[in-house]
Amino acid sequence: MKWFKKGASEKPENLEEMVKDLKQSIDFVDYENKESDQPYRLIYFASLIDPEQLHRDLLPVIKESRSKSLEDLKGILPIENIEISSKLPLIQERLLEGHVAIQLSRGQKVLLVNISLRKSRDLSAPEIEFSVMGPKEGLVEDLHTNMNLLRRRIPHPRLRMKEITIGTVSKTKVVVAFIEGVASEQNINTVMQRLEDLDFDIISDSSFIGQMLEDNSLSVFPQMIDTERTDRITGHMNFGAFAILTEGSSNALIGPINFGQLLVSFEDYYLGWNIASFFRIVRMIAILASIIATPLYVAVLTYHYELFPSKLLATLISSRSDIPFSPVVEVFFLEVTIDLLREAGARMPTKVGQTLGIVGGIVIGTAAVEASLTSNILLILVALSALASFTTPVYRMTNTIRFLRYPLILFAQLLGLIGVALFGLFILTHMIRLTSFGNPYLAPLYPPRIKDWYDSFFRLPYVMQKNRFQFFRGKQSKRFEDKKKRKHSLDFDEQ
Amino acid sequence: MKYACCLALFCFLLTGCVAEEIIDEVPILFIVGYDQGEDEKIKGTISLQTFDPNQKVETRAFEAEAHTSKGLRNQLSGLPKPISIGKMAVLLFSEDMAEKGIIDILDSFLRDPAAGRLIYVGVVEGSASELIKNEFQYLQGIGPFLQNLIKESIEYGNMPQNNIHLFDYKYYGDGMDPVAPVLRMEETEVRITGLALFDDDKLVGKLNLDEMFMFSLINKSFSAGLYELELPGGEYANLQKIKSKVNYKVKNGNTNPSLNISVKLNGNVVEYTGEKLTKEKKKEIAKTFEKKVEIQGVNMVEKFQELGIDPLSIGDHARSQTRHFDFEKWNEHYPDLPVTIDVKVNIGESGIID
Repeated sequence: MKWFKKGASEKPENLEEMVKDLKQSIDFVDYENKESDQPYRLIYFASLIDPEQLHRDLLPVIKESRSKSLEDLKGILPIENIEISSKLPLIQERLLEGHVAIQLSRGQKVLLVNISLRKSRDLSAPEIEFSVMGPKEGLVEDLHTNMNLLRRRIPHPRLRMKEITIGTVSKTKVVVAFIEGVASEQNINTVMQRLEDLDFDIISDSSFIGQMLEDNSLSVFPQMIDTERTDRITGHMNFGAFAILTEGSSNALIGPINFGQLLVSFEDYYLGWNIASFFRIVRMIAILASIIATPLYVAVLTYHYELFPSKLLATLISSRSDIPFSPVVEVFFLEVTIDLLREAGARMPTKVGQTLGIVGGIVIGTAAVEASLTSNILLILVALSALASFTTPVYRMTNTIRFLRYPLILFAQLLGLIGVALFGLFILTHMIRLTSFGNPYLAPLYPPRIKDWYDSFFRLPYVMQKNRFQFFRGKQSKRFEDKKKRKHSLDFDEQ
Repeated sequence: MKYACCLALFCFLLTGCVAEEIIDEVPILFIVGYDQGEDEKIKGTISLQTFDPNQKVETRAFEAEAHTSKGLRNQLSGLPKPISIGKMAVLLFSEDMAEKGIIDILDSFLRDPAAGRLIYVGVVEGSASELIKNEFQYLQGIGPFLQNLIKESIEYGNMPQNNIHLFDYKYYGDGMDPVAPVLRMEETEVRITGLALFDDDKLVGKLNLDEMFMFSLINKSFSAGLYELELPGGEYANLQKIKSKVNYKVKNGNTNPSLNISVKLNGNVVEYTGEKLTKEKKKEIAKTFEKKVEIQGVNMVEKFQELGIDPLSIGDHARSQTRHFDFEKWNEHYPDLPVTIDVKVNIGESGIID
């Protein structure tokens, strides 16, 4: 509330003063009808309420009723969520949420009726996390729609949703959804406490919260997954994670996560286990190659030419013989070009973006080689590693991979392969120390949890996915029972 | 955080310590040849590869004389620096150089961390310098060509495994002596003519190609390329994919040693000049081959005994099979060591139309 205290508006002492203050906005309505048999006064924000509901459900009832008190009126209004209050902060808050304040006579007491108008776009297919198979249902900006989507996917009494309001200006509603008993209480307590401690003025998107909640905000590695896929959210909740939904954001945050889950596309679960495992391994190799391909090029060409096979030597040296730059300059030039293309493509409308891709990819690429600015071998490497970096299913991870490459190139230039190894160790150490809501980041790998490996770098068939991840430390660890044992213990949904 | 900053800072301070060797700026050597120079000097010849944008390879040879191998580098003043030997593939020595001993030069390569361990050592009949300077019509240049030639003779041909690392091992090890391929320059090509036998690091004898094949067969378990066998009736049979399984047995290593080498051979007949390849004929081929390996093998070992060298590592086999082995006694016994060779040849298939 500090922000308000510094502002011009002082805390109003009575209702009239508050109304006078709010009247400075043109969408604020203070209407008083004294002439009719039933005098009444309406106070509301015209931009927030549903006028149809006002005229159809509210006004006729008020006019026709002969009630003398707000309590009587409360009894006959055909709308839920009605309260009577004389507390100014509450009244102001409700008005800003889209309630109408009704008075039958002057005073401090008002009847607050919720007829707020919800404008939200229609459901649409996820655009960032596209998948060929699986449901094409993405979150939208409206919190209630999103909650509805989740609740429909898990129609279970133990799906809990806790609400909390963050942001002194934006008053953003944030909902933490989890399955009680499956999610570890400790994780839920941690996230609730962190959310309560948040003090910020405006929350424009869930990613604000994501960045503020992270264990290590200096790290480049995402410690929560941003997703717009409802199947992914509910899937993770079933593992034992929680999801944070934010009003006005079409992305939910999933946590806690481990590093392996950033490389998992939820489509993996829709494909056969063997095919999915293969794709996961391909993705992992792609990511590794994407990070180290160009740094290795710099290191090998600058310091360790003997590592190059003799037969490739002629091709490589011929392609580089006209180039006036050292390998590191050449690599930086091309890497920055690719990143420029990507940035430009992301800022442009789709149709312009396509043209941009062609112009950038073909024209700049071939022209750079023909103008002897880069070698064509490097061009292939950079293009491949850019391609490989886009195989990551989580968008924030893609950025991390692209970012990590630059310091690595620098290290490769400074110390050669030793530099690459050194930076690799640095990253590894960092990842081992990193946590996501207190849970180790490299979890099934380090600390080793071999039982969790069934769904990590590869995915075993569902029959073998009997237990939930130990990683989440939920109470209900069984996903399903063997038929023989079923009599003895119950899953969370059978209690 | 403080430590991270320090670390980053030190990384930048370290930059001066590592010398850059950018791939298209350093002269890359594949081959160096050593000849006897004047006044006890060594004459070194290198061939430098240059690549032009059309992927054509040009080689240029440089020559210098100095007292040490590394000293040659200083003398090569017509060459851009630093001279880097990371891609070095073949070391050639002229015969007169090899007779005097080559370990001084090899040592300089063995110590250098930049040099690989798979460098081939070769002996040239005649002058190494001329071989390198000669402009053959090989596409990749003489260095990579010779590397390939030797490598493929080892992999698919009849040459025993050898490289600078093995040379060093056999030089320093007791009861064994190194070998190396012998090369000869002809008008338009370079040929492998046999195997050079070393006593420690000094060239003492040579085996021709036929003997080299026999050497390979009884030296170690081995699978060889092709062998043409003359049969008693004046016919010829070609054996392919010959696999040998060799077993050395040394008895009484310390007191009264005797050696038995048992060789099991498997081979396919791929060509036969006679009429029909019957079962009897196959047996005859096997018998002839057995005889040949036996006789030639024993002759070869006797030749080694006369020269006082041990390229088959018989001493090493004896050591491994004898408790409290005494090398001094072994060296006394070695020249008169009775050697027997048992050969068993099995002819497998003889083509797809049996």
